[in-house]
Amino acid sequence: MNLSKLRSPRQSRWVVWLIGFGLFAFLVVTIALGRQVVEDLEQQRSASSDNVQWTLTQVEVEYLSFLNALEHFGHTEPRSGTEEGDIDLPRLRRQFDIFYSRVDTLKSARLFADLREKPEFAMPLAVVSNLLDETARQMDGDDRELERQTDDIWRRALAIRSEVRSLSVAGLDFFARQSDARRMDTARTLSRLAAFSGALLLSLTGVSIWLLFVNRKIRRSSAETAQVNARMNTVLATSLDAVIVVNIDGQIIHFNPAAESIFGYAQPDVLGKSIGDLIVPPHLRDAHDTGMERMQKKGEKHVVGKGRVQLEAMRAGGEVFPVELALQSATDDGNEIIIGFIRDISRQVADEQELISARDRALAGKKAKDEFLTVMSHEIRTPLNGILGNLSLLGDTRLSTDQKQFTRNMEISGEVLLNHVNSVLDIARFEAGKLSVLRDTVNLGELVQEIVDSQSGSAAERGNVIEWQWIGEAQPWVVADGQKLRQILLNLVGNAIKFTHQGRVSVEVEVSGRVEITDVPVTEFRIIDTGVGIAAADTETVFEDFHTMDPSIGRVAGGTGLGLGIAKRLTKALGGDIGVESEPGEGSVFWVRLPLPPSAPEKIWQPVNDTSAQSRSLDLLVVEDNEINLLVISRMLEKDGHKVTVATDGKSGVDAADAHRYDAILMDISMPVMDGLTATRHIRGGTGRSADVPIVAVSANVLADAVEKFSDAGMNAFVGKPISVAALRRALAEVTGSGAQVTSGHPGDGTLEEMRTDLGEEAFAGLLTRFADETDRLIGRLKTAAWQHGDQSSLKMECHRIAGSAALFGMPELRDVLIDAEVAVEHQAHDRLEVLAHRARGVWATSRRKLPDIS
Amino acid sequence: MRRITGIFAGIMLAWSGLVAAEHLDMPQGDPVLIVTGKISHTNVDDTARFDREMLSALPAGTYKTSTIWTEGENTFVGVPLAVLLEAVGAEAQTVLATAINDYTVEIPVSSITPQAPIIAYLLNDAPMSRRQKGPLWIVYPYDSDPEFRSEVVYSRSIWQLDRLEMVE
Repeated sequence: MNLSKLRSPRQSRWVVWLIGFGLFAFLVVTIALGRQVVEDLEQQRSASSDNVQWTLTQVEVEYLSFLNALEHFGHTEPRSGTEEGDIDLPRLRRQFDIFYSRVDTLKSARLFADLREKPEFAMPLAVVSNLLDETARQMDGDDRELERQTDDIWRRALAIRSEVRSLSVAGLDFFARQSDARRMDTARTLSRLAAFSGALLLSLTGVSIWLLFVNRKIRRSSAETAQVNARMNTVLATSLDAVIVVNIDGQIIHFNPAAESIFGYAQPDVLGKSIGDLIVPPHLRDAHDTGMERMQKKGEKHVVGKGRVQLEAMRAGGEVFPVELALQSATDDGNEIIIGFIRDISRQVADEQELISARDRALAGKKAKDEFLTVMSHEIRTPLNGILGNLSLLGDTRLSTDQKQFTRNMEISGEVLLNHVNSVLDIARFEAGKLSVLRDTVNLGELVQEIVDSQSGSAAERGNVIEWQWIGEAQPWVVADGQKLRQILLNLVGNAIKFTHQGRVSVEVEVSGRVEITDVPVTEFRIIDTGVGIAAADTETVFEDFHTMDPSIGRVAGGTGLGLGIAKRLTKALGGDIGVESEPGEGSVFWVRLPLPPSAPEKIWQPVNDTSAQSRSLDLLVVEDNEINLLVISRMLEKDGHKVTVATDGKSGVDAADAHRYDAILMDISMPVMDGLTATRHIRGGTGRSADVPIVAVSANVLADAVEKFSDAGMNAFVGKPISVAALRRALAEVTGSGAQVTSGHPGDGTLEEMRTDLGEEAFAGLLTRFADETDRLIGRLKTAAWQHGDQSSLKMECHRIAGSAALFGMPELRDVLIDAEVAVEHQAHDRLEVLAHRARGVWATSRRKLPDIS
Repeated sequence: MRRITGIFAGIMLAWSGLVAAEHLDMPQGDPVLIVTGKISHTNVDDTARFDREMLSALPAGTYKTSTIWTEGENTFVGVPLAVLLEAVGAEAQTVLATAINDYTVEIPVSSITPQAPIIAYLLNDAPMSRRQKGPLWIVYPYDSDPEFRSEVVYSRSIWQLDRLEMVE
């Protein structure tokens, strides 16, 4: 059946009303007609007419009897003795009275009222009545008188004979007509009744048919409803969620099997009970009651129809557990009911908790690892530097051949250890995201050759041959971060040697393609060995941190398991890709693909003899705000025979440069009053005497973008802090020899001893004491600054200054901490500053113990 | 109607004491009603004759009703036929009522109730002359019940009554 064809309930109700009204009208009419028929019949039955015919004919009979009584007097014959005349008078009177009475009835009876309206009846009646009235007087008179008048009475009575006749005839005719009319009336009423009854019958038949149709429809739709109900019940019975139906008073009217198993009640036990007492835990009951009351009184629903909410519910045993609840209201037989769908999510919540704590544990573990790595690297590297430094010093003393071999061995071991520590530190730095890419001009051939040269010793030790070659056309000059590339290749080559015995390690370099969009050539480096190889299952995991091969091999080969992890990170940082193909027992091929833009060949700087002083004496200007740095640099330069003029800020630097022409200017970057970049622009933009002399940047900031800025400002070279004599010499040779482009100098690895030698004992001791005092003061200030607000620019400057000094005195940890502190002061990050102040104190305490005894 | 029933019931009780005497006085005036046939109480030969006084002495019933033979509402006073039957010790199934013009109707005793009909002798508190359908007129309370407005009842309403005969 097409449901849409069903009338809406309102429509069908309207139809029912209409039909009902129609039937009622029919019924009323039929009943009215029926009544009329009954009345008609009643009228005919009760026959107000009496025996009208009898009465009317009797008029004539009694008239004749009266005449007959008169005739007894023998007036037809002349009076011939009246023997029995006395006896006849009462009879005459009686007959008269009877006749009189009859006519009187005609005159006065209600029955004849209509008839009396008719002239053909009224006229004779008047005549007869008249005569009777006159005769009555004679009748009431004396007997003798009456006797005498009988003749007269007879004659006159005889004279109205035709009138008496007319009375009966007219009467009979009238009543016959009336009776006819009434019969016609009744017949008409009956036929009308029949018509209406027929119509009623037809309507009833129609209504019956309609009801039959409606009934069938209802039966069919109730069958459908039953089917839907059965389906619904199946759904409810098999639902995994509890389904509870309550009425507006909160009494349970349905409780499905899932509800039974979740809450631990059986449906028959809970029907009609209050939902609040059964499944709402005590601490939520007040809120529940308030909500129910609000809904009952005002119809407000806060949860109903609002989707899923998380709540707590209570089982039969009183256990409170988390649920997900959705409420929906519906109307059932005109009563509002609430349907609740409840899902037991205790398992889900427990799982979530488990997951969260697992994640927290993992995070905590990772954090601990990072901290451990950082701390350990510092703690290990510092004493290791000491060992290596002392080994180096030991090597300069007079030693026996055996002793030289021992120190050499120790140095090698120490360097390996230092490499490991540096690797760990690198990882920690990568994790902290402190990785920047430099863009140098690099000769790949030279770079690979250097690596092969440096590794040929260890290769030979394991009986390996090592070699390298270009495949295809050589493309040696590229723009690359040489240091990182070197590190990657060194790692891979070192590994290859480590896992190869009595074999061959070859490095192939090939321009293998181009990057799709940028069209930058891709260079592939392949490190091929004939070593043990890697199982296919391990080719992915070898690049993970702390991955070592078979522990036995690992022990033999040594290594932290970080090498490939670092290589992979570096490769990714350079925008490249790294991978391995291997056959266990046959060997491995590690490949690295990097996008390397080609570059013009660099004008090769002819290295001057690092250890010899500059042959020519230069006239130099040093602009530096840090007094210790200034002294150190000046001292170093003076020792090499140069003439040094100093300026302690950018402004005075510019003034000095304008006033005198120097051979070169060494310019610090971060300075008060005017920074190095601004000063450089002033010098270059002005017309001073030194407007075009080479300027060397002196900065702790070695990042590529910083170096670019120096170049943009008009600087020609760059020397990183801490400053070493070698780096200074190299930079000066470069700028004064050719005046060419900016190249990066390598940060010095000068030790305190070197500086001591460079500066002389006395000056060094002075500087050191001053540095120690200033650092003590700064550490104190930092501690209190952590909770002070307001202008801290002097503190920031001080952090910067002491950081520079720390670098100079070979305390990179202290320098790092102070630079961090400088940033924290600038950003007013007080929490961070407090931590840094604490750390700075620790680092300073450790570093100070390592300072040479100066007293 | 119910009220009338009550009155009649009282009358009947009172009267039953009187008829215990089982005798009828002799009529002093002209007899207006002669009862013949199967009766146990008589006064003249085998008949029971009543003059106006004797009838008046019997318990009376009163109707206020219209009739089809008169105009307007009239008050009839008379002896209930049932009372009269008791008075004469009638043992009949049928009463034949005859008028002075010898018009006769049959009234089955079974149709006679304590209330209806009455043998009226007063119309509107006055005796009825022969010209006014007197002296006696069997009257039913026509207005009180449609039952009394039937052809049969109208035909039994005989006026100028002067004889009653009790037959099987």
